[in-house]
Amino acid sequence: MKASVSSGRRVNRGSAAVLLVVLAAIYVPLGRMIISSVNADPFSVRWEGFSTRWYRSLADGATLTRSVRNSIIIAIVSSLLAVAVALAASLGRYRQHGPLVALSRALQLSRVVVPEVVLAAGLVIIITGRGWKLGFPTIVLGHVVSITAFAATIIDARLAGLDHRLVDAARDLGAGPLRMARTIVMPDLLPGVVAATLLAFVFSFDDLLLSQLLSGPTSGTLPMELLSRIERRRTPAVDAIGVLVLAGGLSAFVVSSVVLRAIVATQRASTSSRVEAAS
Amino acid sequence: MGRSQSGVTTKSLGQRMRWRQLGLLPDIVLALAAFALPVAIMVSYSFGKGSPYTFEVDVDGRLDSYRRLFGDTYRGAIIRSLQLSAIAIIGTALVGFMVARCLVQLQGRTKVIALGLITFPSVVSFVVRINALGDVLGPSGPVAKATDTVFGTPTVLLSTWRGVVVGTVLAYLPLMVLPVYAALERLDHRLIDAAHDLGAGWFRTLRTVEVSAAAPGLTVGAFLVGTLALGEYIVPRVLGGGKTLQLGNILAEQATGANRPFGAAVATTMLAIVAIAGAVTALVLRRIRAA
Repeated sequence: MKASVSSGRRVNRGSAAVLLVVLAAIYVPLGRMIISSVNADPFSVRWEGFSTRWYRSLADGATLTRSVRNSIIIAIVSSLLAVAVALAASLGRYRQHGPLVALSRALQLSRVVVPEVVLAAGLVIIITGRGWKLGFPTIVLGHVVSITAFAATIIDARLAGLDHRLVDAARDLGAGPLRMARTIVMPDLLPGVVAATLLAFVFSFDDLLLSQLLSGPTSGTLPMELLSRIERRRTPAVDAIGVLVLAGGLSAFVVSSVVLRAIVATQRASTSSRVEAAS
Repeated sequence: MGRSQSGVTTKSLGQRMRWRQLGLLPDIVLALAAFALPVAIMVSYSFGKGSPYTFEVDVDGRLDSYRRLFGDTYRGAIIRSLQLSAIAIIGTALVGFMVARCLVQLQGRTKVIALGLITFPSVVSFVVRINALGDVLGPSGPVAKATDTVFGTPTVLLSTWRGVVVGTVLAYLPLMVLPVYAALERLDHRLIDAAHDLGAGWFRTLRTVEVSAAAPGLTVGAFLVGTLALGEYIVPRVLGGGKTLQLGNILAEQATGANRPFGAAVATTMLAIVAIAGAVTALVLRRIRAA
């Protein structure tokens, strides 16, 4: 038996090996994608020298440019709408009871667990059955109805961590609802709202199924364009798009952690200054 | 809670704040109109007959669509989808438990970096990630080269069922790792030392202390991974070469196709499977908490 009197946790060799294998399985493909995207070899088999031709070839794709623009517009509109609806719902549920609250919770949970393809199929059957046209508005509708449930889950978690004694104290001291929201609830909720917005954007930008089923002839998104390129023929141009998407995801990841850290830091500072002023 | 001083009871305060529930309305209207109602109508369509010329469906309680779905042509897809779900649950549970265990054991900066490295791929496009994996599993990838030198024959996983399995497990691994990690973080690690001190071998300690502590996380993770794998659409298309279609692929094709009752039957079947899985998950969680 190994020495049992240890203060810290020992890192088990077996699980460390599994972690390293998993990290390799995640990052080796991404590394190879980056290499293929700058490799002159069109079959990505041998290293034929550094080249930017695959990146330059992207500029010619009219459908590609349009799909990127569509994806960005849809993601911005959907994530803002979804977070607004989710924020209203989360605040409406916070420490409330009754049939409306129960209904909204049931609808939230079922949207999270029902497979996306089922939600998309239901929507498209109704929309086409009514003779309505598919396009931007239907994609946004599908994205918003799905993403709202996830965004509300994040905001709910943040609200659950809110010290409700602060809210009660503010009310007892005569603060109105708007003032309470501005000075107590919103500052605490901000990291959750920022995180929910970012997640909503990524979810919408990344979504394939809802967009594919609910899109019209000119409202194709980037994931759809990627899938059709992959199924036609894997070329280094697909890798080049992948690298650009990876770079976008990485910068979103870095920016969000910096922003969240800054928000938390200013909150700590303001809390301590409030405490100082009080004492 | 100190409210008596202000002379206002909890009840009247709660009633005073009722207006806040108005905030629920946009979400409820949206979810009813664009989710609950369409899905309910779709379920009713599965018991009907579609017209070949219009989008109308005559719902008369017939079971033709289900007979077709469970018949010889499509039965394979149902079984494959259930298989993929089961394998994905087992694979992510085994690997995810080890990964989560290692994350819990790590400390300080290493832990933050490892957690970041595991969760970061989630913000990168799913199609991009799966496509990059396809290159690694393909004929000129490292897997084929390694198996060629070791066994003499290259193993190409791209465009095979095994490739779909590998891709699904890797793609959904974070959904297992995070709940299990959260459950293991709550475990007082001195219990492990205590078990060792009392003479329990590593396997017994693992089983009685660590796995039982991870059980709620494993249950939640299994539900998430299982339901997502059941409706999987992208992985079979990119890594399976379109040869091993799942329920998700059939539904996506049928939803826009002519035979809407058939697509509706596929969707209803998936809903039934998810409902059963959800009920089982809730029961298991309750038993774990009671124990």
